[in-house]
Amino acid sequence: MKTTSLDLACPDTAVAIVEIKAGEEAKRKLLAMGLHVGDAIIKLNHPRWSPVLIRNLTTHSSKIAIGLGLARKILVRDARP
Amino acid sequence: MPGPRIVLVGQPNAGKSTLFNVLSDIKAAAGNFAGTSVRITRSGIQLQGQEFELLDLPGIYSLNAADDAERITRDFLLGEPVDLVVNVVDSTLLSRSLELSVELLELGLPLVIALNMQDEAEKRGLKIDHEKLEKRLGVAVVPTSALHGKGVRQLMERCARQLAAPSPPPPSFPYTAHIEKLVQGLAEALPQPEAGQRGSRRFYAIKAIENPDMVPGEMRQPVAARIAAASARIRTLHKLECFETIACERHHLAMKLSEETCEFVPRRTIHLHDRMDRYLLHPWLGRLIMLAYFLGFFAVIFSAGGLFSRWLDPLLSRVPPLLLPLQRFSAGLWLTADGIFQGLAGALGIVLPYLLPLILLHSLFEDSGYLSRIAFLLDGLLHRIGLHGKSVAAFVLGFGCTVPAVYATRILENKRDRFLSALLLPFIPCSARNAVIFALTTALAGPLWALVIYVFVLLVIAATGKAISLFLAKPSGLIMELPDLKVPSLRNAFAATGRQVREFVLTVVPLLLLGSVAMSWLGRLDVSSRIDALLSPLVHGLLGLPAALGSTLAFGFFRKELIIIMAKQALGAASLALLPLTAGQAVVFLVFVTLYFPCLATFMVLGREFGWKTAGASAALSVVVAALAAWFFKLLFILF
Repeated sequence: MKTTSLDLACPDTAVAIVEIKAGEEAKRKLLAMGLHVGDAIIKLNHPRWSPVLIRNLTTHSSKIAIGLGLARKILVRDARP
Repeated sequence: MPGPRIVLVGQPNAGKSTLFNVLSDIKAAAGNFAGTSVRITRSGIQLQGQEFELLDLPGIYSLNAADDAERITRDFLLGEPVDLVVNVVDSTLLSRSLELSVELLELGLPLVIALNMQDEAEKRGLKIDHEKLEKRLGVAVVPTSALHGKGVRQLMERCARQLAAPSPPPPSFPYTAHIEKLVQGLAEALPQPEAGQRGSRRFYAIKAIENPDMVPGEMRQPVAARIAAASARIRTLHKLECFETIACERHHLAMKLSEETCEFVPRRTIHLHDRMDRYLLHPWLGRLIMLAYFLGFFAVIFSAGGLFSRWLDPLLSRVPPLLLPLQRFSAGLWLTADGIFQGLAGALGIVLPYLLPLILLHSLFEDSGYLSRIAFLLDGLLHRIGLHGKSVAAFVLGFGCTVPAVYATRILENKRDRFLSALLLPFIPCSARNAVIFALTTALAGPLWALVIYVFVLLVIAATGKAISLFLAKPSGLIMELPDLKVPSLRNAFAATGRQVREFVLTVVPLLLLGSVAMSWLGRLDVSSRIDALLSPLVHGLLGLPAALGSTLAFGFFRKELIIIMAKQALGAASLALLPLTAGQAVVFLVFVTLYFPCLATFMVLGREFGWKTAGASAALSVVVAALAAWFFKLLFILF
């Protein structure tokens, strides 16, 4: 799987965060909420007029909603071995 | 003189407020969404015969605070005397929660860790070796389940032991060798923090690299060149911003600690809350459920409120004839007694019947975690009016009371979102206005009109938000945690209802009585007619309502509940159903009442939080919007 933005990633498939291209404020917030480059996450929904819903598999986190605009700035890649 | 100070610190939804409620007599608001506690709650507690001061600080993901609620916690920890920090950790999110614990260890304040929600973690297949974690961290780690009161006594014993023999701050974990060397070098070079400033030099050395704004200028200035050099070196080596590198370091430390001390046996079963989320967060089904939920919510309040009101009415109507003999002794005495009774009858017979079910349902709803689902579903829609889903928490709280809703805007990260929310929040009908809407529509126009008013108010908020946001920058993106759904605790809901009803009885009822007595006397002294004459161009001229309602609107600025009590007195009606208003006039009146500024308390809180200019602008905006909206309804009634 090629690198793609989070909003376009397939739902229910584990992906790894490759890069976060957001501004400093958003990046700091994502880091504080435990989302880091290299973490395996899973997208739980197929967004249509709603934010992207993810779960961090690396830290067994609760669900996190990320606005569509911000999700477009998070690059991910297939995390399956 | 309060005793030693213990503060509860943890990430949002870790159960701090629940633990606080178990330990103290005061019941703090505990909900199932990030940012329920946006203010510091304090209480005195007794521990092994000694007095302590216990504080519940707003939830914080990291000491690099991102929003105002987090900044309150950070500033408190750095600037106020604290004897012991109890870090409340959500065991189900151990790895992420330990990132804050590592940061607190760096801060260097005496620390005890409450490993909360242990039972829930075990259910999910997480087995945490708390003794091993204690050894690795070097601070007491006590497993607890605050919701069921488990482990709380042991936690307090460890706190008492720690306070009786304060041990030196535990050593914090070393970073990767080359970063550690730079941190240590800086820590040695930094001057000591000033008196009153908390935190170790190591903590400030790390912050100088990660978040320089957190380091006081007097500490930073003498070593500015060294900080710049260390930061540049880290940026070159890692090809990342310094805050990202440091966050990664803490992330790795927390992950390592979690892996060493926690065994995870994945369960194949899909949790009920996950299954429910599939429906609740579904693009169209979720929205349908949300709509049904709101309709059900208001239908229950209507039915329950109407039932209570009808039940109390015959009892209360027996009292006025009993007061009539007083008229023979003294007209003034009768006026005062009648005013007091009218106020009391309004509070008990009209306001409380609707307020009680509203508060109870609202508390259950908050506790369930459904609020963040609504925020998720409405994010796209709110973006169109210049906000984002996270504002939903404040707006839904606004249906209860505007004052905590204004405080809840503290969880919004940027000033622009807070400012816009503050301007729009007063339009949300609070419980007082809901009681007015329910009582008047039930008496004069029919419940369907209440629905029309609610839909109209939402449209007004959307249009006003859109219009204001045209002059503001684009809204920031949403990043929000959705805590797992849970069965709401009836105990919590009753405690919250009890707390709010007590507040209503102690602070609002006296005001209602005073207002009602004032209205009786003002009518007698002919003052209300002067206010009525002053407001007549608006009330009678523009809105086509009886001019006598002018003074009720003026007094409504103090408390909106006053309006129904005063309207009865002003128009000389024995009950709401006998008010000389047509259904159309009742709706026009209600639209104005719902949209114009909520109350004095909201004005004061807005002034304190956003400045008096914003509070004034919000008040003026609300009166203009209310007048235009009510006039629009008057035109509709004339045309159709």
